Amino acid sequence: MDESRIAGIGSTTYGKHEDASTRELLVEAASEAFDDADVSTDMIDAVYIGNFMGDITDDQGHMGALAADYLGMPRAASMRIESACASSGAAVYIARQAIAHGHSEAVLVAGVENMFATGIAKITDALANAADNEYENAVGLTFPAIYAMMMREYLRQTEATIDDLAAITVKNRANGVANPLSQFQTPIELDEVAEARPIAEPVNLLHACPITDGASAAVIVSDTFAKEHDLDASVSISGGGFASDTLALQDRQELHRTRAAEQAAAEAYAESGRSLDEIDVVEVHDCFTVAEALALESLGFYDRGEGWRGAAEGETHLDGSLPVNTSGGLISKGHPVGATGVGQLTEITKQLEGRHPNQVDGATVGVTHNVGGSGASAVVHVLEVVA
Amino acid sequence: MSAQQPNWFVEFAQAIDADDAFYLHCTACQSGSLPPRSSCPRCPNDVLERRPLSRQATVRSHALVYVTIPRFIDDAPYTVVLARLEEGVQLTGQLRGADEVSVGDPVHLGVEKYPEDAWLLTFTPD
Repeated sequence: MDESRIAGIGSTTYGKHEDASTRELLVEAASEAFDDADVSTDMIDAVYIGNFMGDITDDQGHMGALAADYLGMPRAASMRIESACASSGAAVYIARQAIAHGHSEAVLVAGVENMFATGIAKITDALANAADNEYENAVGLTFPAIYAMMMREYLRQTEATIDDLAAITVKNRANGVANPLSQFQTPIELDEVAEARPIAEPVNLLHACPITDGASAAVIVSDTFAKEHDLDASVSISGGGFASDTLALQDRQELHRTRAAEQAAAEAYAESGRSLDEIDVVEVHDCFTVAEALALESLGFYDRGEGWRGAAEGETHLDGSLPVNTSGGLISKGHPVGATGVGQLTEITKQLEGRHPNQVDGATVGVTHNVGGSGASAVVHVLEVVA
Repeated sequence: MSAQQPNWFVEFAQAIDADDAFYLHCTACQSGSLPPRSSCPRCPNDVLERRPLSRQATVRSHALVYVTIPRFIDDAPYTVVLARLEEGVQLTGQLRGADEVSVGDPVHLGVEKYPEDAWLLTFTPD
């Protein structure tokens, strides 16, 4: 079985891209990845594009073919992969399978979302498509409201206070300061988080990720291809896991648990052969503060109900024993929905190549955790330095 | 979204409206689920019996929604409740008949046509 190596990465800045379109963001990120990889587009035999709502924001579907066309990859198989906020994590998962099974040697994976131009009410509506249309959207349950229900249950069932969860925002905003790709590059204080405008109580604006435009891309190749073309591709994706849960929150017995991520993590760890104590750096899907706490529990770093301690007690800070979201995470770096999974991959790759703006000294093993909806789909990958 | 509500949901809502609410009972693992499932989500069984639903429920969680989708923009802020019915299934509905609710409060399930012709599930404190 051929291993997947990361030959190159690229990304637009995350934030507000005035007048930009989905295709321009996509091309910008992918072109940078090709330059970084030293791979020409005609070598690519598959293109997987993570995108959630291009049909609504740009009236544009068929994003795989669009990418193949605009980037000059006529012989490549191309498709768009959609798994809500986990769309491009899913694209990485599929790319790795294509390489493992020998169908592909060199793949472009990218993710893109163009959200600002559409307006807040319509974007809230589009995001709600990740939930159950009849049982959730029809009663006016927005995405922040779903996480508000999960957060309320988490605060009820654990020792965490709302300020303990706010510490996640404070940490991630501090990490975003040094990241030139981050939507927010200013720190924030605990009392500012407490006083932010409510979106869906108990979730307020600063317990949530922002709306973001952006694209991220990676050229992933087989180790055989990397050797044949003498590529500098020292980071391998050594394990992957993907699992699902009920689409609607109401169909779960436990509202403060993300089982799909537990399963995905177990699969990824087993395949990579890595244990928790070997992992140096982690990017998790902190779409809301409570989501980071739940992620750290699902990934096994904390027992159930204890994940909030990471930020509140310092362990997941940059200078802690397990730095989490050194990019700033979704809360600071931003969340261009379909781009986030590949964005996490680019951040961990920089850490393992020793070129991250918040470099963790000596990092050799990293994990990405990308979640769709309220946890109905989850993708986990283990990355490591192999040469 | 604005798409027309599918027939199965209209039938489910109309049954609540007619005081003839139902859920699906798995004959193998005895767990409850909701239409339009054709197999049990918790076990391999595909025999589900339609059984009466009491409409009595207990609040499990809730959220006060300020920023919302175009259809409910004039109603914000409003409260959405996730409640567990006596039969074990859980449903989500908008709060009616009170401004506030707490986890553990007894509520009962209802429906109304709102906005316009769409069926909306509701929970009202007892």
